[in-house]
Amino acid sequence: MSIVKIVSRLAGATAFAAATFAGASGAVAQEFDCSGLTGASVVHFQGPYTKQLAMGAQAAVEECGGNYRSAGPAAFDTAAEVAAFQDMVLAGADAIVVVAFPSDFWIRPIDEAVNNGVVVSTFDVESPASLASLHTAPKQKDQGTMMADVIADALGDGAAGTIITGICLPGLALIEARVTGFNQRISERLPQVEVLGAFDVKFDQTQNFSAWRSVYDANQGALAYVGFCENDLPSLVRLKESTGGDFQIASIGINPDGLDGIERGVALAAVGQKPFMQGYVAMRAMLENIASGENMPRGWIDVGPELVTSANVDAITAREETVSDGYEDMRAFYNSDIEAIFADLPGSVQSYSDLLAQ
Amino acid sequence: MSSGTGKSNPALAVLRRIFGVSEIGILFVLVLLIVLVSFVQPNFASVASLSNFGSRAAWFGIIGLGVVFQLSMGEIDLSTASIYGLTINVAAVVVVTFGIDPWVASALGIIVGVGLGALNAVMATAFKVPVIIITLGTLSAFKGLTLIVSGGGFIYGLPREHSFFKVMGATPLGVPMVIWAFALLTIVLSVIYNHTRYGFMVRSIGSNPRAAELSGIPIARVRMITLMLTGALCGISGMLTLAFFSTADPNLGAGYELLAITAAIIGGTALTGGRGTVVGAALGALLIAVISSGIVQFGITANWSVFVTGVLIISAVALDAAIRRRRSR
Repeated sequence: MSIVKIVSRLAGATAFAAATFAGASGAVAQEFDCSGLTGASVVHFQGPYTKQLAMGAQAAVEECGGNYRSAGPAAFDTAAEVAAFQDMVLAGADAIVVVAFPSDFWIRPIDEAVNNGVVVSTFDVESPASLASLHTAPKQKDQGTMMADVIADALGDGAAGTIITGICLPGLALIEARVTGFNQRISERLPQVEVLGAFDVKFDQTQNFSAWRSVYDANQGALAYVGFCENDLPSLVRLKESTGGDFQIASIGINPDGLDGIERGVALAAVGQKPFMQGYVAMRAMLENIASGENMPRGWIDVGPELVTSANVDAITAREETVSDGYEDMRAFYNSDIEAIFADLPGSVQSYSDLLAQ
Repeated sequence: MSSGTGKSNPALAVLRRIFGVSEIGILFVLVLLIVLVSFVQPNFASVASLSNFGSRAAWFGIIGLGVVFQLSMGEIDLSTASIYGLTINVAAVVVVTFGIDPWVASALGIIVGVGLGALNAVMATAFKVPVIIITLGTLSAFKGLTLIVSGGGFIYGLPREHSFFKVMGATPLGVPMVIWAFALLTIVLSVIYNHTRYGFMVRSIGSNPRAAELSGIPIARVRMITLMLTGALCGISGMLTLAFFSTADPNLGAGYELLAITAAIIGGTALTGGRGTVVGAALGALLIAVISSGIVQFGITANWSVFVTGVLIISAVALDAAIRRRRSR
């Protein structure tokens, strides 16, 4: 590792520590006791993003003394995830937070669980037609808008040309909302730029790069190539380096390869979805309500998107590196955001119709 | 058999009859596993829990019932999961896109399954290759058709208030309809397998194909019927899945062909052909479902669960084989 990189990592670690210290408010043991309760998280595959979703839920459960369980298939498998969810219900979970992907598929399993007395919330992917109480996620359209602003700032107001976009799961409403947000903001800020796509670039990591390569080969000379899913930025970094191109790249989703690309100046930005906060807020809200005996509010809590650029990539990288040691540092980093939500939880809950508003 | 006094012992006769049933080994293992998991999770033996893993077993177990016939005649169809997924998505598309009544669409889905099974048989006969070779290709072709039909995405907007979803997705007496169907099909197909001329021909072909052919058994026709039967079972399971979830996913059924084959083999159907047991396949499917559900109760994480599932299946097969050997002495 070069001296420059070592110094920047140290600076980032310092910035992360400062942010953590600023956000922390001492011990994070909760005022309410959930020691007799079991909270569970169920995710749709095992990966860095879903690990943080689950980790947030775990932190919320263990802070109040509860028992934490987790489940979910190793690889993306809808039926297996439903089976894992039903197993958690049978295992006696009092509160379950689940990635309800695809939404309609989960109506019946969630409704059956709720009718059996389990409190269910969703994170990452919502199921508003089911009896799930809360959903936690950043507003999808805002993520696209945020990314569009970064791209527009980088290209300049007078830019003219094309931007190529790729979507990993065409037709999925929550990702389409990101695309819409991006397209709308680009049209406002860069009227001489045409956005092409969104082309299908596949969800699977091994297929994603091949798909981006094909899209690039068919659409060379663009000002920027932009993705909307977690696996896109690593592929775009690889694409840019292998082609030696002089174009901007950015994507939704934070992962180590993407952060490394931003750090080295290859990638422009990534927009994070705060998966830790999604899991934490959903689980803590459920456990608080169970412990207090109050009815769960129903709706969506916006945890907000998170922009990563060269200005803060070192701090974000330092934060992400703490994940392997547990959730404590991550919990402290987000403490001020979390406490702001729980200072007025009912007031933080928005209507589901706002979630996917386009 | 008489006792030393010259009189028969009815109790002994009953015991010998019970332990002469070929599925007793797998049933013993299944009950043992349920009891073991119940120590950790007392709810595991409840009606709700049995319904949970019973449903899970039924989705691929219904397909496994047809696999018994295939294996018994020495054939393996690798396209069953793809047929299952295609029937679901075809039925969903015709409902959502063309407004077809879901009951009619479900019949169409089953017909599609039968047709695809027939196609496999026609190609195997025409090209004179084993079914496993043909279905190496059709598993991809049918999967591709599923992606084409569904547009590569989930199919939403099915009329979940329609009687089809209410009836076929219902839970009579607290037990999901798919379990009732699984039980009924197990009984019917077991009778067909053991007590009909068709069942006899299936086993004969698997025992000695040359002798079966020389004795006048129409192998190509029996193969056609078997693959059409399996296709129909894929369609039936698919329609029950559609009725329960009211959404179609082009990835549904991934891995079901292996689960169905595993269920049949665990249950006692010989991979070499000639003998099998439909009831055993049903119990094998239940065993697989109990294992996957049970390891979650023990708190085993997802990354370990696949490995543990494989180890437990091997253990279950070994224990069943030991019981069979003891019985044959």
